[in-house]
This record gives sequence, structure tokens and C-alpha cells, in this order.
Amino acid sequence: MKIIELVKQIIIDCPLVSNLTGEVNIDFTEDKPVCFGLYPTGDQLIKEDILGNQDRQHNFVLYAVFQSFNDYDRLANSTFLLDLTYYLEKAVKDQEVEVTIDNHILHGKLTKLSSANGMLYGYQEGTLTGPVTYQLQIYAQYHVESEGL
Amino acid sequence: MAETITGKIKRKYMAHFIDAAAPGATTPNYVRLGDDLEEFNVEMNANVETKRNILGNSMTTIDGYEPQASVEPYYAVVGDPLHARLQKIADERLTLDDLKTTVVEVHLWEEDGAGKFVAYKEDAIIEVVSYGGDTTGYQIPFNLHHVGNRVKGVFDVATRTFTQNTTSGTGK
Repeated sequence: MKIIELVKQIIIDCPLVSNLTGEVNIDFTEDKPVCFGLYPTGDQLIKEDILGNQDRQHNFVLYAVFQSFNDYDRLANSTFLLDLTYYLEKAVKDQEVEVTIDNHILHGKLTKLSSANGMLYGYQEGTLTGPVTYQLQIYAQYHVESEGL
Repeated sequence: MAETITGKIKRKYMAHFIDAAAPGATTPNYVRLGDDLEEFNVEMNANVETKRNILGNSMTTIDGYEPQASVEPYYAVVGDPLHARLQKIADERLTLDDLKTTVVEVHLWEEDGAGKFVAYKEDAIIEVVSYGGDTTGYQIPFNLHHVGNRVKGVFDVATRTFTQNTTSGTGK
């Protein structure tokens, strides 16, 4: 499973998400609550050892459209992001990752999930009482084994 | 190896193996070093002596080396024979001959027969520097002191066996 698919699946499998909706879109969010969109924002090499094994990081932004009628809703929304942050930190269980580089399929494993900047991102209808979008930046670190020698 | 290596040699083609078998074992158990190591250097530590004569000329001689390498970080992995060896050294505070091992440097760009490569084997002493580490994992960094008896041969990558050349060798 590619890193994007894996992170999407981990989020779908999170009870916090599956209790609200069983769906997470890629690069897309609907305007009505409740909706989740996972936006990959790039991959970077963190380090490489002398055998050619790589530690890489893929960055995501998770957008969540929630309702926001009052403070109670907004507190629940922010608490959701906080709980999701805790969940992601504990969701890493050496899941396998598949990487294709120059037509070579390499194998690796997820090593760390972390997140930051969980906050209100924008209004949908120009008012805070309508549907609002929250964001959570997610960082997925994974280890890729070098092939052969 | 199917790949023909030309030009600038990638770092991974200079391979370092260490015998992780317990002292006195009949057959070595070579383990490759390099996981999690962004850099690994064998410091030559040449013994350099420089003299200046009355004419103002200087003469420099090198009469030996004390090679040493540092393996840091080394993350302990359950089932890794090198971890077992290092853990025993730390647990039982082993000294002297119990620290002896051999290291093999393999030139993966110099194939000498199918799956065999030019290699140099040398006796070494393991020095466990510390054990513990941070939350990234249990670490046992160690130093390798090369102590001589360096011989040339070939290394079979598949079976991880070293065969000394019968006609040549390089002593320290």
C-alpha cells in the first residue's frame, strides 16, 4: 500500500472518524458537514544511511467540514482534532509501505505519525454559524529498505 | 551482482561486515553494518613522526596505523545476532578475549567470481561505549578497534563467508 493510501486508511479506521462518516476524500471536500478531505502536500527525504535505506516524510493536510452553530460545537470540533492527534501518534504499528522509484518496487514501513496546526481554517458561507472547515497538518514518516546490495 | 559499477562509487558498495558469533564459535556469523548509519568512517590514526635535520629539511615517516571505527547509532533489534553479542558484553561486563571479533571490508565494485568480491579481513576488538538512548529506540553504540592480522581474500555475499587468498596478504 502506498503511503497516501495507508494514511487515508488509518484515518478511516479511526473510530473518531468512522463514527461520523466512513469516508475520507483525497484532494476534495464537500461544503456540507460532516466531510473529510485529505490533501497530500509533498514528500521529502529525511535521511539516508550508508546502505541506501531511506527515512522519508510525507506531509498531508486533513480538512474537516463541521457544523458550528455555537461554542459547544466549536469546542467539540477542536476536541475532535485533539483526540485525532492522540490517535495518530498511537496508530503506528509498523504498517507496510510500498514505494515505486524508477520502476523499482521497494518496501518499507511506517515509523511515525504526528500532526500540528489543528485549527479553524475557514468559513463556508461567510459566517461562523454555517459549516466551517478545520485543518490538521499530518506528517507520516516511513522507512524504505534499499534493494539488494 | 547484476549491476556493473562504473564511475563514482556509491557508498553502499563499500560494505562493512562484523562477525557477531560468540568468541570460540567454530563458524563466523557476519552481519553487515550500516542500518541507521548516515556515516561510517574507519579512522586510520596513522602514527606519524616528523623530524627536521640541521639542513632544515624535514622527514616524515609513518610506521603504523591504529584504525578505529565508531558505530553510532546502533539500534538493538530482537533476533539480530550482533545485538545479542553486544548485549552480552554490556550485561556481563566482558573484557579481554571475550571482546575479540573479525571485521571484513568488501569491495562490492570488484567482483571476483560469481557473487564473490575482493575483501579484507582483520581482527578487531569491540568496545561498547554505552547503552540506553532516547525515545527513538534502545541503542548500544560501540567502537571497533582494528588490531591487525589483515588478510586479503574474497567474500561470498550470499553465504557471507570469507575465503583468504592463498597467494597474497597484507600484514599490519
